[in-house]
Amino acid sequence: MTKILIADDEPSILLSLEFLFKKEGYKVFIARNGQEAIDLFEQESPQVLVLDIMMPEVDGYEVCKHAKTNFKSEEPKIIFLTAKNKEAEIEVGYQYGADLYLLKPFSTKELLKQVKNLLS
Amino acid sequence: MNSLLITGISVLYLLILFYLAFLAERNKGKDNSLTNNSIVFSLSLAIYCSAWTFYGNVEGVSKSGLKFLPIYLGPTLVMILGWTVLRKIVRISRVNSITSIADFVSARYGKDKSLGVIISLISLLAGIPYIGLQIKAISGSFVTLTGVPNEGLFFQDPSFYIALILIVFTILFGTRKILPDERHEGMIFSVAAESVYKLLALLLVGFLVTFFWNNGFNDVFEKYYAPLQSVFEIETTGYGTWFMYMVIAAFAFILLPRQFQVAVVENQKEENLKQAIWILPLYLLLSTVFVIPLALVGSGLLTTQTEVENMVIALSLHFSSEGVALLVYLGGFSAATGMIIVESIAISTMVTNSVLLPLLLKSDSFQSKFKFRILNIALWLRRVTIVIIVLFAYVYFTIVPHGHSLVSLGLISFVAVAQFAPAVLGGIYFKTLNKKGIIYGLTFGIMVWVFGLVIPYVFPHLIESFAGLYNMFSGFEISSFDRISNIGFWSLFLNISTAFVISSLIEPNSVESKQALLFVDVFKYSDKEGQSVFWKGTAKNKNLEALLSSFLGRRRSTQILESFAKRNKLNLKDEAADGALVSYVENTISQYVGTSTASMLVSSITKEEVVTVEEVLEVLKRSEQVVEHNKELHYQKVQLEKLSDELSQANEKLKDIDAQKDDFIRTVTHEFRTPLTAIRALTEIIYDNEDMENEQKGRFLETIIAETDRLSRMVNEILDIEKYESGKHILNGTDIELSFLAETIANRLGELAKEKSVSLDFTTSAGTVFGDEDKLVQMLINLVSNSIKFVSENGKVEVSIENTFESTNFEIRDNGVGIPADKLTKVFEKFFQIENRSKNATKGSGLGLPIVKKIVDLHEGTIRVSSEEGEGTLVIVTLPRSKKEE
Repeated sequence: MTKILIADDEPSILLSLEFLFKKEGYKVFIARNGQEAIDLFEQESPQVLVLDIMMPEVDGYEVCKHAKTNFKSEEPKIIFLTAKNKEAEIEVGYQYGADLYLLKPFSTKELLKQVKNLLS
Repeated sequence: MNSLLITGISVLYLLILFYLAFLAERNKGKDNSLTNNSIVFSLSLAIYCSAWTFYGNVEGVSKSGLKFLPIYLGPTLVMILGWTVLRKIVRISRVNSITSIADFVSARYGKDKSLGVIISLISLLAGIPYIGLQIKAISGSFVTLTGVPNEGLFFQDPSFYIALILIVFTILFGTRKILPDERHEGMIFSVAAESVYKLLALLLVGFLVTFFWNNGFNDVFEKYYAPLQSVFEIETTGYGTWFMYMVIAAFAFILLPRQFQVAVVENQKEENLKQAIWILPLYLLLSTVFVIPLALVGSGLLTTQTEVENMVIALSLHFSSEGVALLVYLGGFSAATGMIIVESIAISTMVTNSVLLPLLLKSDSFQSKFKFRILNIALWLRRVTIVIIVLFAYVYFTIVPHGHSLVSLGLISFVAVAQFAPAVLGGIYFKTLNKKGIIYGLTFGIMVWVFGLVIPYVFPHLIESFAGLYNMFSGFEISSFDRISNIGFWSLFLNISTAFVISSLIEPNSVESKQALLFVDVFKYSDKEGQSVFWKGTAKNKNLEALLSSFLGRRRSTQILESFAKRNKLNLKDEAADGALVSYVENTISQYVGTSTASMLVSSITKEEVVTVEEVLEVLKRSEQVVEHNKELHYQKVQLEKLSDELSQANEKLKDIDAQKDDFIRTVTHEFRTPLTAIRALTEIIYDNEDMENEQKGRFLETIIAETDRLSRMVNEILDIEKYESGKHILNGTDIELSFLAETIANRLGELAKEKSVSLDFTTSAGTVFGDEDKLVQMLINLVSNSIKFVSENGKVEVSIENTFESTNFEIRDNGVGIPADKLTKVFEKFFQIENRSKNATKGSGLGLPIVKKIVDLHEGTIRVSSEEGEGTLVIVTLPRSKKEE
């Protein structure tokens, strides 16, 4: 089963994402901030990370950098899911090594499709 | 102490000064210029305090009480009341490229060479003994320090070698090259440094003697005053003498060659004077603070003549080690050398520019041979003059009887230069004064001076030969004046009255009238840039160019001539030169060799015609208009600059506000996106999953409602905050019962607390608070609901609202998660949110506390938050109970 890690500091968004991915058959892990995300990443080695950027203390960029440099066997795919929508900000996201940069508010179908594409 | 060692230290001291001068000259004109500031300028004025101040005052007090004070009151008055006089002299000198006081006088009275010669000779006569005094002071301090009396021939006398060394340094300081405007920035900087040192040394010994070796001023007076009491009781003649000394010192402060050099010639800008108004008097005051205690202690303890003359050193030796004495010696050395260096440079400049060069240029063969090599000749003449001046001063010191004190000999010099007062001070305020009047006045004044002071003090054996005259004079003596005041008074009286009487009898020539106008009305016809001078006659451009380049070098002279031609729309290719150019060249050369020499050089290559007084007035009228016009322009320019400054400030402010707005909108849209994201995702899920469990669906719908609430709350709160920020919220004040507030909150939030099983308790005191009911309720709701949000289940929130005498205090205390210390200051920032660990709670708007802060501010209250992480949070709002209830 594909493991997916979701990190966001908004409980309601976590609520929706958790439901969405579980329903598609992923094994979902939930982090409410950057540090939790890093810890969970170390424990579970998920194949996909869906990260918010603006989180308290450790932000999404940090988590991304950590995941892309500290993975154990297989390089994880990383998706930023964020409200930061400026060209320059998107550029920064890709510079941190993201595989995909999606904007909030997002379409659930589109998100699921993109994740599938990434994994295939 | 070994005299070789002292000489070595003295030379080392001079080398340090020279290094300072070198530093200052290296940085001149740059942003970090050491000399172009009013503090250095003010300190350089303190060159007034020579060895006389350092040694003479103390000795003077021990012999004649408070007589020394007017010597310092005079300059103080000049700075405080007469600085505009100085400013006028500075302006005139700048405009006319004046290099010395002789230059000044000769320029004022029709560029007359004979006056320049007379002033130079008087300065020389008065200056050499004065420099001699400084050498005497150095020598005396040397003897005191070594304890070996000075009884050999001159080559066994250390002060002879010091004089030689000083010659070398003076030449290095003042005549390495000739500078335009005669400015020696390095020298001025080192003079300022010396001024600081000599003051510190004097304060040091004064402090030690008064407070360290005795127990303060009272102690000194108790122990030592009695024997000197008679000296301090001013004799019946005292007050007149005091007054006369003050007048003479005030004149000397402006007219002494070295003072004119530092205050006028070396002064870089008129504005410097404004700081000097208080710095110099303060300096003089400090330098006299310890004079009396030093004198009292000194005359009580010291006996020999040399000791008394060098009391400050002798006292240091008496009480303590040679180290202190050496420091003090260097202070006196500073005072003496500073004076010698500046005075001999000033006198050598005037002797060269106003006497020697004009004399040499009179000879046709010299003129034709050296006309274009004057600069070098001037330099060598100055060096030679410096050598002669200092050597003569040394000779004076060795041959003249030693009986007279520094004070009386210094005052004699003062009386001599005071004779320049009608020429200089009268000359800048009275157009009627002319050359003949001044020459006769000066001659009479100086004759009285020689007769009354020089002969009795320096050549007393000659008195016999003039016994009749002296008897006659004694009939004129004013009884309330001492001898020096009497001569000072009568010489000045005769000088001034002769000058005015003769001037009124004799018609001035046209050049004199022109110069008189230019000097007296300097502020009318010139601004800080200079004035339009005029010249009539025939001259050739190429001759002028040749003359100027002999001073400036070809490149520089072509450069400035071309820029002058451009400014005045002249063509340098023409054969005949314009009158304006002739004046300009003459003025430029004056900066190097003074006005007399410059005018001789220029007239040697041109043919000047007489300008009538009418023509002069005509031109002046025009230049007056130009000056007025410039002033008007300058005023407009200043106004415009001010306006454009204000505009750009307003623009900056607008930009700031704009940036803030941008920022705000960015944040707001971002904040809106979060609840929108959740709403969209959740609704999509519900829409796509018809088979969802009801319980799950219910939770989703609940969240959607909460997020929608959050959105609309945000909108309201943003509008609210905007209203506070633009001042649209006004305080709608009434008296509100405290218990009413508590009940309202309990009603509104009771349900929420119950849902979360949080206990919510209120304590109130009786009484009312004056405030806006809606706003205070909103404030409490925001604070209390925040607390409820952050306590865990079964938590506790306590609200207390109580009146004290001066304020109403709202305290909201909870036992929730608390706020980390580093976040405490941020909680009032818009959209800042504390991470909420309780699972699945919707986040807030991030605007609750900012609104609370606005409400508190509107009520002129204060809010404090304290918190311990994990323990809970306490918020205290304090509103003043004020105006309304009184």
